[in-house]
Amino acid sequence: MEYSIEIKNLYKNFKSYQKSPGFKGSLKSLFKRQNLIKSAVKNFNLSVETGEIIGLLGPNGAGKTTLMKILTGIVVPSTGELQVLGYNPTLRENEYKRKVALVMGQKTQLWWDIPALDSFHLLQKIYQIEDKQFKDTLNELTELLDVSHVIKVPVRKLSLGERMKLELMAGLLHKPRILFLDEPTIGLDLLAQKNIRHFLLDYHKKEKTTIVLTSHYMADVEALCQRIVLINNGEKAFDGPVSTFHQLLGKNKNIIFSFSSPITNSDELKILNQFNPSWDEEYTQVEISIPEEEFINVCKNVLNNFPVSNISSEKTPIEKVMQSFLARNHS
Amino acid sequence: MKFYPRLSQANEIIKMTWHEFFAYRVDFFLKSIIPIIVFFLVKYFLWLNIYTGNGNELIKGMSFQEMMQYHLWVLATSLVILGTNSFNMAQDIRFGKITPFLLYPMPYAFHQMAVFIGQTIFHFFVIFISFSFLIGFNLIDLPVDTITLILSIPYLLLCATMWFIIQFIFGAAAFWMEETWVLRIMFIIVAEFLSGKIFPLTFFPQFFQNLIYHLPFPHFSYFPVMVLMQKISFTDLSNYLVSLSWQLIVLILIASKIWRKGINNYTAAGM
Repeated sequence: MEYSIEIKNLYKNFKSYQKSPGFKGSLKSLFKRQNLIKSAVKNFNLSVETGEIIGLLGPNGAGKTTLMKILTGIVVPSTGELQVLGYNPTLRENEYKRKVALVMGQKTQLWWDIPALDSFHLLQKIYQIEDKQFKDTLNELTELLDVSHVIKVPVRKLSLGERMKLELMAGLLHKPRILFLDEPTIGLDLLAQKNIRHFLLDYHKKEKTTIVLTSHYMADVEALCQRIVLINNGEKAFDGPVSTFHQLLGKNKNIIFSFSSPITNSDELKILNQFNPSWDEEYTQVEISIPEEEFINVCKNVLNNFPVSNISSEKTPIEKVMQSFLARNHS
Repeated sequence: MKFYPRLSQANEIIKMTWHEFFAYRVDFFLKSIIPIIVFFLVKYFLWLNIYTGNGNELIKGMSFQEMMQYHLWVLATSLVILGTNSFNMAQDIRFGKITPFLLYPMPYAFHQMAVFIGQTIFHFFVIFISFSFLIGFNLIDLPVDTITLILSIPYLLLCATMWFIIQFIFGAAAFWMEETWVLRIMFIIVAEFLSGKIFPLTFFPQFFQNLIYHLPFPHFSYFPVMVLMQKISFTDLSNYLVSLSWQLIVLILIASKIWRKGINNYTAAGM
């Protein structure tokens, strides 16, 4: 089995300081500051196979972006072993930089005031891409992303969705072997998100590029990733296939009942209380989590005793699994 | 490192810098003409009043006309030497904007230098066109010796490199300091006085002149202007070149050490 990324016992500590509020606090901090050491990544181990797509998940401040920064060589780890495509990213070798790309949803690498095509020509020179390869890749990506009409427009005049497509193009022009994606669909509307996901899947199918993704949109992770790595407080909390992640909370099924009138009777409410119900404000809709073996009986019971107007059942959404898993580990 | 790819990279960055200049038409014209208008409004009337108040006598051996010629050359040399792109470097570090550059197989300092050269060439043309126009229509009196002008170009480029390196060092301070603008403004104020940009260095007492002649500051205005006004001999110029080269080597070594240390402190904020 060939691995593109191998991390062993990785740590990253950041130093910051604490300041008391108010004028007095500001004055005091001029002379004495209380230093804080925050461990953004703790004892982290990870192996990523070549051609795999993995999703780094976790709440804000969990350490996933720090991990991405370390893998791309932007930030230097405190201790630990790290190999990406056989290189140590910390050394920031040009050969390594030619083989990876980082696309950030919240940072642009395109020159703001001029058309993206000019930035692409600069990237051609930076990555020393042959003219023919550059033209072929440019044409191919322009077609796949459907951006021929915006490529010559100054970047500042483009919509977020168009800009994001061009950011992806900029990252892929040199055909990286590993693509790091940090929140690639952030702020995009549903259609634009879907387009980006489709493009990434098609591109991966064709090029077999290893992709490491962080996203707050679970739809990204579910659509793209074969494997999830959950990070919490800098530590790895879960590492496995998406299907296994869904079963972390047991074999429960989620079901939503809608009612034609509000349910206010305490006896009626009691029936549902054992299934961790989540009611809407009007008490006309409830979501419950039912163990698989009791599913039929509970449904029958509810249908017989409540004014049910609609039922929908789905597997537990990935964000819910994540929230519950983190809450359970926290307690 | 292959030389040719670096050359083509620099060429592309310079072209992009020019594209950016032309992207905003109003900004482009303001950048081109504002320094000249400010020169006439502020420096011309200021010195006119000083000389009128002094009964139009020579001040430190300079007539009003010579003083104006001195300041016209100051304007020209400062537009060529004193580029401003590395002013933004501290902000870029603080807000994580240098992140994309760290991922490129090209040093960040090389990119900054290429932008600086792009700005310098652009400013050179602005000065060349506007001065040709002003001289052609007899609006200013500025004797230009073409051979001196050509011979002074390598010296002016070294002076510009020195300014760039110093600004780079101030920018890199942002790896450790949250705000570096106070530091930079203080340096610029000191540099304005000690470079001869406000008034010729001969206005200072002799002992002070002897001291600052050994610092980098006079290379930002006074020495280049003296060279262009043909008030410095080639022997003096070669002495200045030697001292400038030594100072430049030391500053490049300092800048490179600071960058290497700083980049290991970089946290790529906001990503």
